[in-house]
Amino acid sequence: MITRRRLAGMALIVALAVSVVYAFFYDRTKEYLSEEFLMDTLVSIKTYGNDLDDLKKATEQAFTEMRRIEDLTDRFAEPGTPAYAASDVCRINEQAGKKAVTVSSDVFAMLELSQKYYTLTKGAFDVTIGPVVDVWGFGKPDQKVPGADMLKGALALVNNNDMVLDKQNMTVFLKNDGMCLDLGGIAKGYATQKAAEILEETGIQGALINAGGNIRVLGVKDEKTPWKIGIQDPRDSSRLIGTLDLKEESCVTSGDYNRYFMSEQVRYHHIISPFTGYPAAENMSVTVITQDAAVADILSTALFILSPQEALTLAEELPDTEAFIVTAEKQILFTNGLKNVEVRAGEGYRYDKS
Amino acid sequence: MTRADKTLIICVLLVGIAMYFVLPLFNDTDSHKTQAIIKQEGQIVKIITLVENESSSFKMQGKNGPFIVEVDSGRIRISESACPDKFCVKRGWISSPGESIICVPNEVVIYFDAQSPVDAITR
Repeated sequence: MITRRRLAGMALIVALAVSVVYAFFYDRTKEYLSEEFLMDTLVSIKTYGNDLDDLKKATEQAFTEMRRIEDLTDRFAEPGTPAYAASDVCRINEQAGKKAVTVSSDVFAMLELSQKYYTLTKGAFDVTIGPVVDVWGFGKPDQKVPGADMLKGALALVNNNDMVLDKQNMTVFLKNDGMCLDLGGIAKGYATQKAAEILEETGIQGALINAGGNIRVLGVKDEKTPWKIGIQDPRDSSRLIGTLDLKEESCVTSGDYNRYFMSEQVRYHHIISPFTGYPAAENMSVTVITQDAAVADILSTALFILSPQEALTLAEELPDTEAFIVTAEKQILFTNGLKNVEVRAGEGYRYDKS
Repeated sequence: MTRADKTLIICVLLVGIAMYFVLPLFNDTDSHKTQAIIKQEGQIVKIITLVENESSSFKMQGKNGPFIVEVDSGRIRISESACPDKFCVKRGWISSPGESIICVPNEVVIYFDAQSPVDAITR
């Protein structure tokens, strides 16, 4: 006979036993994924931790930070709107040739970094490229191949040395009328890096931020598994041309296949060389792996503009910087220090194992 | 506690442990069917099961304007869109896990449900 007391006791034991087993086997690491359209792309933040509420809160803070950077660097705000007044880049461009403009510490930091890499890349990375981007129409509804005279005029305004940074007063001055900053090669990376720092400060152990292919990871995915990142095949979007393992690092790719327009059967993409004023043509894609996402963004653009050999040499020289390059001749090259890379050369690609 | 009680407890425990390993197997069988997911402004608005040799197309309304989604033998694309830059149309067909079509002006994302072999793709 089972008495009522015994039944109650038994139920209690079973409940206890089940919860112990559940607690033992249950995967305590929770994943939280959030996506938002900002900085002209889809940004997704994936975080891992024990408490879903903490993950949610941290992710929201990271997005707020990215939106803040977006507002400061938005180049296409309408004059007279609050967005225009909030954009440091709009205000700097408006005062080109006139006067110095006081800016936020973030925009100042981005421009300092830009200047440093302008020198390091011997002019391949130049944030004063704005006038040339404008004559091509990138970032605007209509894109067209500019006339030679128009292009020449715009190119004459491009010179990073005519951007004056005053650290004491936190001001920026573009010396010549018509000059125009375009932070398209750094803002997304910088925002990604800031978001990663926010997540780190809030104690998040594992995270992956993906801002339209600009990737920054924190920690490990789970139990020491590194993050696995695929590099898109530049001529077949359904394929990966390689995979990488990332740990506390960023990787950013610049390619000729994402943003482009066609004119008389010729493809014109959006990464314009400050040397020629035309889309850079020596590489199909360049992926840079380094700790800081802003630096990875800058370098992927700069190395894309350089010749494959120059790009590879520069990446080898820079500390803690690796690069994976697909040249216009479909040759795959990468730096010696790039570990845990798996190359999947598809049809037509050349890859010489060394 | 009688012998029967103990047996019962152990049985419940064993079943619990077994379920932990068995249940995920059932979930996996579902993912063999490829499903494309369409998200608009952060919300899933449509789930399409992609079947070989079956095609269809339909019109949807985005934040910026209308667009047409085309499905054909396990692949999917945006064939027309009223957005200014048309990067989504130029993206062409997608057919494997990890791939996605993104239209920023329309705030539309199309991707596959199945597990991608990588955590993210740099492009």
